[in-house]
Amino acid sequence: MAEVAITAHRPTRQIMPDLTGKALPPVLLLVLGTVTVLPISALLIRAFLGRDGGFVGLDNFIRYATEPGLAVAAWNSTSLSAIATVIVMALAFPYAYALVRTRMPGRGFFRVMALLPLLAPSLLPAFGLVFLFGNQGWLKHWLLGESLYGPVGIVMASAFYAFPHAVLILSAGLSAGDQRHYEAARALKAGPWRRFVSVTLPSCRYAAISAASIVYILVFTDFGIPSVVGGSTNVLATDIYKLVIGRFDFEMGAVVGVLLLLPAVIAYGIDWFARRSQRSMITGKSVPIQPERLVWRDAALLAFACVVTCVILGIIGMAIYGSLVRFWPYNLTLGLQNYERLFTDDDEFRALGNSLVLATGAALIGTTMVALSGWLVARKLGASGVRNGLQAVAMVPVAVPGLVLGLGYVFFFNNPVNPLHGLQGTMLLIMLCTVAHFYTVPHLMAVNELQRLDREIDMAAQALRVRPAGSARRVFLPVLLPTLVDIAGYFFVNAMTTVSALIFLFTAQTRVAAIAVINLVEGSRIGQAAAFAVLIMALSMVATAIQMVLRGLVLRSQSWRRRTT
Amino acid sequence: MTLETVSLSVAPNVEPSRASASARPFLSLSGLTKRYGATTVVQDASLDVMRGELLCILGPSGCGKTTLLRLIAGFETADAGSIRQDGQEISAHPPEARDFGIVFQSYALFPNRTVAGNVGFGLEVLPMSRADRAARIRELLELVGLEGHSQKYPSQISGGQQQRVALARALALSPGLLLLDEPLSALDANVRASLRDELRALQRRVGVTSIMVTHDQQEALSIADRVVVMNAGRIEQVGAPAELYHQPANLFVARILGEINALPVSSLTGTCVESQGLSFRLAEPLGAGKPGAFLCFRPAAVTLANEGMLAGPGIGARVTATAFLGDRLRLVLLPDEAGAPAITAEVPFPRFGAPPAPGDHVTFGVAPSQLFLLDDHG
Repeated sequence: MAEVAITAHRPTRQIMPDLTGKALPPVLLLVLGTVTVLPISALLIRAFLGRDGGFVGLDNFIRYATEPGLAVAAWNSTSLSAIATVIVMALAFPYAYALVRTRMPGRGFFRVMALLPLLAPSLLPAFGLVFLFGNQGWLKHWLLGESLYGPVGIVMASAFYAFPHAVLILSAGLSAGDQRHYEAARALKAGPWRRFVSVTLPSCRYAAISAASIVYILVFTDFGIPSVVGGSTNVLATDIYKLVIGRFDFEMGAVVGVLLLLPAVIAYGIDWFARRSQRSMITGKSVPIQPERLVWRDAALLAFACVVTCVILGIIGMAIYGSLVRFWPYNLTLGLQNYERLFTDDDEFRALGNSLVLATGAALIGTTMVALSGWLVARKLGASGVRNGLQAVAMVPVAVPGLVLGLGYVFFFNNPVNPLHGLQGTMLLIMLCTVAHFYTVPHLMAVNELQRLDREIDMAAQALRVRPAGSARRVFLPVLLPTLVDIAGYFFVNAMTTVSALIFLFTAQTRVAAIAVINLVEGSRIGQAAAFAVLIMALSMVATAIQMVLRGLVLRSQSWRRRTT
Repeated sequence: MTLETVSLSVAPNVEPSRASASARPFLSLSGLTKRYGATTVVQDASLDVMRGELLCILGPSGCGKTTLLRLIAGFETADAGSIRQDGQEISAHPPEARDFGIVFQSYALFPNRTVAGNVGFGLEVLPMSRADRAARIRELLELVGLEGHSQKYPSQISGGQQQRVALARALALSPGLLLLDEPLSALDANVRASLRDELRALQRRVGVTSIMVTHDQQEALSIADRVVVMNAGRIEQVGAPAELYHQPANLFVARILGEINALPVSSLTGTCVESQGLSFRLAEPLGAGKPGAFLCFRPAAVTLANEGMLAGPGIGARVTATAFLGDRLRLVLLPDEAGAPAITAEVPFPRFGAPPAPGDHVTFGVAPSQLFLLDDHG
C-alpha cells in the first residue's frame, strides 16, 4: 500500500523550538530603544529638571523666554528656515519637473548634478560662499552692501544644502503619475497648460508638502552652516552648542533641544501624512508617465537647469579653489599645502582616520541591525506587540535632529547611574549614535524590499519544517543583498559628512574629520577647513562609486534576477 | 536512506468512499471556531477527512474556507475545538510540528532558488546524502513532468510550471496531508483545466490525503471525492459531488453549485405547486415534514414545446434575451402570466431551423423529476 509506504518512511527530524522568532525581536527592540528613545527621553526629562535634579515644571522654559537674547534665536531659526524653504521649493520644483516630466536632453547628467551636494558636509557650500561673497570675496558687491555673515549666508548655504533633498522627493512624486489621466485630458481637448494645472499640479501636491516640510526641518536643525556663515546671527542650532559647551548650562540646552525637536516632529508628522495620501493616489494599475516633447518648454527648462547646475558647480568649485589657495585672500598662489597640513598634523590626520573608522563601523553595525529589523518587521516575526514596537522605534530617529539626539546621549550615557556609563567617550558610542541618527531610511528600504515577496513564502518554508532563521539565510538575505549594499553606502556617506549629532560626543581621541572642519573654522584656518571639507566630499564620492560597483557585481552574480531563459 | 525507501510507489487506485467506510478518519475536526475580534470567521466546524481522499472546500470569498485550511495547517490557532490528525491531537502544535505540505495560489516559490533548489528546500535540512537528495528531487520533478527544467529559476518558467514546482516542493517530505489553497486560481483557463485533471491523477497515484480550497464549483465538482460547502463561517453541507448537485440541502448550496431558478411557493396541494401565478407538477407528492419555501430547477431542466413532449400543460412565455453558448443556447423567458418572474433556461442549440430570438413566443415546461423544493437556509 502506497499510503503505508509514505508514512512509514517519512523522513523525520527533531523539531527545535524557534529561538529566532522569540528571542531576537525583544533583544533588537531593547538595543534600538537604548540608542534612540531612551537618550531622547533623557533630554526631554532634563528640560523639566532644575540644576539640583528636582522637578521644576516649566521654570526652565520661562527662564529661556525671559533671558535677553535667547528667544531671538528661536525667531531667527523659524523665519530663516521659512525663507530658505520658499527659495528651495521655487528652484527644486521646475528642476524636478524638468528631470521626470520633460524630454529635455541630459536629464541623467542634471540629476547627478542636483544630487552632488548630498556627498558634501553642509559646511562645504558655506566655504564656497565665503570665498565668493565673504568680506574679501570676488563677488561681494553682488550682495549690495549686505554682509554674507548672517541671514543672507545662512539662507544661501541652506538652500544649496537642502536642494537635492527637495529634488529627490519632488521627482519621485512627479514620476508617479498615471499616463491615462493625460490621455483622458487630451481626449477632452485640454491644452498643455490646462493639463499642467488640472492634472500635474494636483497629482504632486502631497509630494510638494512633503518636500517643503523636509527642507524646512533640514535648515531648521542644521548646525554646520550657521557656525560658518552665521556671524552674530544666533539660531537655535548654534545656541544649543554655545549653551552646553560654552556655558555648561545643560538645562537651557535641554530647553533648546525641545524647541528643536517639536517643529521637527510636527514637520515629519505632516510629511508622513502627505506620503500616505500620495501613496493612496497611485494604484498598482497606473500606466507610467511618458513625457511629451514640447520644444519651447524643454528649452526653457534646459536653460534653467544649466543655470542651477552652474551655481552648484560654482559653489563647490569655489570651495575647492579656496582650499588650493595658499592664503586667502592675500596670497592666491595655488598649491596643495592646505591638504599637506591635514596629513602632517597629527590631530587632523587622526581625525581623518577616525572618520573612516566611524563610517566603516556605522556601516557594519547599521547594516546588520537594519537587515535584522527589516526582516523581523517585513516578514512579521515574533509577537505583534514587540514587532510593532520595533517598527515604531525605527521611525523615531528621522524626526529627531542630530543635535537633540547627541545632547540626549550626553544626558543618558554620562549619567553615572546608567550601567552603560562606560560607553561614554568611546568610538563605539559615536558609531551607535550615528547608526541611530540615520536608522529610519535604511530600515524602510529593507522593509519595502522584503515585503515584495509573497507572504506565503514563509508559510511554505514553515510547512517544509525550515525555521525562520533558515529561510532568512537561504532566501531573504540573497534577495536583500543589493539593498544592503546601498544601505551600507548610505550609512558610510552620512557618517562621513554628519556633524550635528557628534558635536557633543567627541573627545580629543575620537574627533572626526567633519568636526575638525568646524574647529579649523573656529581657529580661522578657513583654507585648511575648506580642504578638509573637500577631502570628505572626495571620500564620499569614492565610497559611492564603490557602492555602485559592488551593487552591480551582486546583481550580476544573482542570475535569478534575470528574466531571460 | 536508500532511494527505494523514499520512492513514491504508485498507489493502487483506492476508492476512498468504500475504503473508508469502516476505517477511522485520517483527519478529524470538531467544533472548530475562529474569531477575529467581534467577527466569527469559522463557526463550529466539524468534519472528517478519510485517508487518501481528495476533499474540496467550496464557498464564496469571505466564507472562511481559507481560514479553515490555515487552522488545519497551524498558521492560525483556533479559539475553540479540536483537530486530530492520524489519531493525534494537533490543535496546539505549531505548523513546523505538523505533518502537511501546502500549495498556495501565489505559488510562493523562492525566487532566488532554481526549480531543483525549491523542491529540495525542505530536504536540505534532513540528514541525507547529496546523491539521495538529488535522486529524490529528480523523482519529484518527474512526478510533475518538469524533468528538463531543474536548473531554471521561477521567473523563467510559466505560471502552470511554477505551480507544478510548488506541488513537487509540497510533496518533497512525503507529507501525510496535502493542503491546496486555491492552487489553480491564478492560472489561465486552459492551463487551469489541464492542470486540474493532472492534479487529480497525481493525487490518486500518490494516495495522499488532500484538502483543496476553491471558489470554483466546476473545479470542486470535477475532481473532489467529496465537497464541503461553506457559507459565512459555517459548513452548510458535505457530500459527494453528484449528491450535492442533485440533493442540495438548501438554496445556498444549490446556487453555489450552479445557476438555478428559485420561485417562492404560494400553494402546494398533492403534486401541484403554485408559484407566482405559474403552476408546476412534481414527480411524486411530498412526504411528511415542512416543505421548502422555494420551488427550484436548473436552467437545463427547462424544455421548449417544439423540442420534445412536455409533461403537462406548457407555460407560454416571451424570449427577452439569448446568449450563444456553443452547443447550447441560454434564454431568458418572461412568462405571459402577469407578475410571474423571469426564468432562465438552457436548451440544446437547434440543429435545423432558426433558434429562438428575442421577441419570439415559446411554450416551455420543466421535467417533474427535476423540480425540488428548498429552503433559504438549512
